[in-house]
Amino acid sequence: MKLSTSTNLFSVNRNKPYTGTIESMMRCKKAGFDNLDMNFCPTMRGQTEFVTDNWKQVAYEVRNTAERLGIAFGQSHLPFHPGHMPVNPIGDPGYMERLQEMTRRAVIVSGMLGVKWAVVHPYASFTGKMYSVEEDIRLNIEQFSPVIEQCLKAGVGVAFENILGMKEPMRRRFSATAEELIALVDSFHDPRVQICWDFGHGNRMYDSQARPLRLVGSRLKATHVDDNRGNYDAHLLPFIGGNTNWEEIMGVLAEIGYEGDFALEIQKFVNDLPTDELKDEAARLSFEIGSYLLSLSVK
Amino acid sequence: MRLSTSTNLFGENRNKIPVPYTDTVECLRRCKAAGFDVVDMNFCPMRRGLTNFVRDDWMESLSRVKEAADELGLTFSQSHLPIYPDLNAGPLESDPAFYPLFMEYTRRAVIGSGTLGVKWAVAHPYTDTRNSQYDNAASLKMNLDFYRPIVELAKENGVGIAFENMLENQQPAVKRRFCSVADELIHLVDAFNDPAVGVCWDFGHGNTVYADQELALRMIGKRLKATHVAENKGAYDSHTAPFVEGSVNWEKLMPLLTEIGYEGDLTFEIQSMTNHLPDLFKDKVARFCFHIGQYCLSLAEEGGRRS
Repeated sequence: MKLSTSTNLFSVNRNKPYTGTIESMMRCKKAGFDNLDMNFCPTMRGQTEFVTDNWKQVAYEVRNTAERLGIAFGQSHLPFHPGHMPVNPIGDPGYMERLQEMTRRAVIVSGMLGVKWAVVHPYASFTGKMYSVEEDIRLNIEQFSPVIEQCLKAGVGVAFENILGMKEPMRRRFSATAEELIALVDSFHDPRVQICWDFGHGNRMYDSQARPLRLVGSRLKATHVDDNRGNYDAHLLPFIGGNTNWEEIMGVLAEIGYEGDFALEIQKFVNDLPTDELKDEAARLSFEIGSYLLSLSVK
Repeated sequence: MRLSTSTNLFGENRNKIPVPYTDTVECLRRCKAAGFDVVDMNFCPMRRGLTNFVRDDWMESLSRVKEAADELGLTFSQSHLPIYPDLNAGPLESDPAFYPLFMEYTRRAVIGSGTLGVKWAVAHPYTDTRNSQYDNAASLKMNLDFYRPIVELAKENGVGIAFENMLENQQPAVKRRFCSVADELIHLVDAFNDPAVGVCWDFGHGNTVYADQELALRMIGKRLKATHVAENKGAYDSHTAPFVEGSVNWEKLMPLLTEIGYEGDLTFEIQSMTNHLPDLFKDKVARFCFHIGQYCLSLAEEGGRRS
């Protein structure tokens, strides 16, 4: 298992615009990280250089910088629809076309960067039959089959993520539980379609994440690591302001033989810090705490 | 204005390792090592039977704490008196065994504050639910009756009492709490008509009630004698450090403290940053918090330069 962090560790700033990808990579490396998770989610907010016309040139520069710095990209996060598929967010009629284009770019760049697993959010049927596992699986196969085809062509696997338990107005979201996520992933009958477990989302659903992790077992190929108190998705650094039982989780990861990245997704711990110095200090702390967590995962 | 922290920065320990609750002298040593020269003596854990101040030899413990602080060059400017757990919802005498114990702990905390040189001991106003619901006159009377002897004892020990703005809607039974808004707090403090009674403003509590805390702070003005500095997103009292997962407008509020002539300290109450950490990371995170605090102070100083 390798410690990693999302490139979003440095991207959002309290009092200035979005940090560029290459600067984010350099600061992650300086904090100690050799493995990164390339985050394409901000493209749907018009952020990162990948929304510009010269996105491919940027991708080459990112790849060259990664090689020079000795950084590997084990995971990426593809853009996701924030609401309920297939409804356009209100007041944004071009959203679906943009989502398709940004996803296409994210897949191509993931392939260029050597990403093994691109993480995607499963959707729940909102306009059709609600709260039907069969209907939700059908919807996800319909929505994701073209994306999976693109990914496999680019040499990238697809990891479906366990999702937050509730998103208004839906009271229950498909794939918030391990059983639903497994049913979805297994329906593709392809070893290149597997699971990303988000421990923050998991902590909102489960008192103990041991049983769902054991159920997921060898399907687990990617992770999102962050803490919260179970009430909302706070995206904090493990052990700070949260109540996740990391000692238990790290033991289970060892037990199920997880070998992928242990990818911090802790942007809320640093997003609002007011100076670059404080952000760098927070990133270094994050690396040290992440390294400590890995030390707990010994068979 | 100086940067300060509650001694609770090192109180609780994850999985009770190495000990369930860190000894006060050890807390002081580690606060000092993180960079803090000023501390807030937190007596709240006494109600859970924690700290050496619950023991019969509490005076000896107090002497030990005073000696350690003097050796370390630490100053106590604030303290936090014990909080009665259900004074909102039930009668004072609802627990006949606990109530006298609580009053004894409060007495010790007040005397302890005086011994340690504390200027302002922070106290929680309570909400009367015995006689009526949401009757501010009843709550005011209850607080005056309950706190008058405590204020007198505090004055005898050279300590002032600073009443804190409350967290709203904390318990299902009480949807609105007395003194969660500035005008109720002012009403309470002014009713004492005593310069030894003032206000402690808790920015975390304030953020759960106010979209913008500026007007509240301006109303309080010179009554402000103490602070609790913590961050949250307005949904619940998460007690993280400023700028960590919150929505408080520190750039606006820190200079405002200088502008209204606040002369007390900027006191962290950010135990969630360290409570759940393995012990080996606590000192580093405390140091990180100290750096955040220094930045907050620099914002407050900007207010001084502007005015």
